[in-house]
Amino acid sequence: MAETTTTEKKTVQDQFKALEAEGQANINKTYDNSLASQNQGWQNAFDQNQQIQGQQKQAVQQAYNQANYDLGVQNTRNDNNLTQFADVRDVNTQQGSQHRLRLNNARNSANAKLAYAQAQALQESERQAALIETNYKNQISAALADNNYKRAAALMDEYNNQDKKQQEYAQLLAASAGNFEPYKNMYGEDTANTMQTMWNAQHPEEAYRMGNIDANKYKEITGKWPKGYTPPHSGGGNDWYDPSGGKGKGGGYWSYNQGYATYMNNYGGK
Amino acid sequence: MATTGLQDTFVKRQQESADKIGNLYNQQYNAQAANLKTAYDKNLSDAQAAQQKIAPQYQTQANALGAQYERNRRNLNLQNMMNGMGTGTAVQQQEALNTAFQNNYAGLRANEANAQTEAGQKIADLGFNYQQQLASARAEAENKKAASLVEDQNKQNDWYDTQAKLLSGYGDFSAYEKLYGKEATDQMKNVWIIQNPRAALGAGLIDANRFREITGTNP
Repeated sequence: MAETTTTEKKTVQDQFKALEAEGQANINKTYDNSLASQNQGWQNAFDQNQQIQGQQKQAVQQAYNQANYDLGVQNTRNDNNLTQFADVRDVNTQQGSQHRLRLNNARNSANAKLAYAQAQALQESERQAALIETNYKNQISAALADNNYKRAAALMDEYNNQDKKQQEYAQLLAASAGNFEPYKNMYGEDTANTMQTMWNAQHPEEAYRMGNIDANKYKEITGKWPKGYTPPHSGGGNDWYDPSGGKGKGGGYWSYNQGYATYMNNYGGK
Repeated sequence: MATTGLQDTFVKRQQESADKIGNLYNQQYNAQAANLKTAYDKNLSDAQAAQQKIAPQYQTQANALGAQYERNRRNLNLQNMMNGMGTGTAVQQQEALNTAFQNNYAGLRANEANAQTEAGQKIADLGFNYQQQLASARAEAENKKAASLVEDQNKQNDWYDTQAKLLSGYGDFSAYEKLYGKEATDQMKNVWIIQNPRAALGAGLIDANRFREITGTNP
């Protein structure tokens, strides 16, 4: 609820606007907090996933390092076997170098097969890392879109709710205080004035005491003078409703403003 | 002043209600997170057990491949010696044997590394999925919480209106000051006093003069 200080004069319309703004601010704050918390959740997931993917990439490297190492050991073993075999069979230099060449080719072919598999695995790992980042960005965007959508719906509800509430507040104020100020904004000044006139006619006592109507209007509506009021040229009266403006008895009516001002001065609205 | 009491109660109610809603959704999220963790731990344990079987399985195959190679090599050598095979031909055959073995061995190790990679990726995927589900659960809880808080705000405002109306029946319009401002609230109060002068006098809202002025009679 909006705060009102007694020193600050605010119209009913100002109050309504303040209430509306406060309601909207509360909704925005609620959805801001919601979005921040959701984003934090996605950020945590992203951080964790990046860490997991980093470990997975390391594991891929280790698996292929091990495979490369094993293959290297095997290559050396084969190399030694061939050398030994060639020595035993007394293979000549030219033949030996041809054999060595073919052995190297075979080794290269085997290494290439493993290297290709390793490259593919690392590529897949990189693709996965990129996917994690894309997914994170998508989730953040989706959370924002979802939050905006829900926030807009909540603000729209709030707008409708405030509209309905303000109608109720306006009705209450009009019924209980004869104050039709909010209706000026809703229906226009002429209509609000007509409503005010109607209320005065239905509540002449309150309208007169509140200064909305003067004694003549009161008499016009009710057919009698207000209680405590001394009609003009009657020889009576008192200084509160002295029609001569407080300077004497009798001699005409106070204007609406004069009457209300004197009333407020004497009683201060109490 | 009455408003302070109502306003304090209103703020307290708002806070308590918001705390309750927050706790409710936090508890729901925590329970869901615990369920997800249990499922993740079970899946992870299964996946890790499967991964641990890979290395021994491939080592068995590598050993068998090596043993077979050695058998083939010896057989070849033996056969070549018995057949009096020339050096060049024997070496070529030896080369072919080596090449085949190397290719098979490289293939085996590549498959093993692939299997390790796949198993590792499966474990990582379980982690991704778990993190994703956690964040989704949190997002869902936050969305529901926000909607609930907004709904609660309206309920609290309705409650305030009801209390303000109740108080106004006793000539206390102070709660309406929050809705209409002081001037309009004073008007409401004055109308009530005019309509209920005796009650207003009894409550000390007006004095005898004002009573007389309104009613035209002495109290």
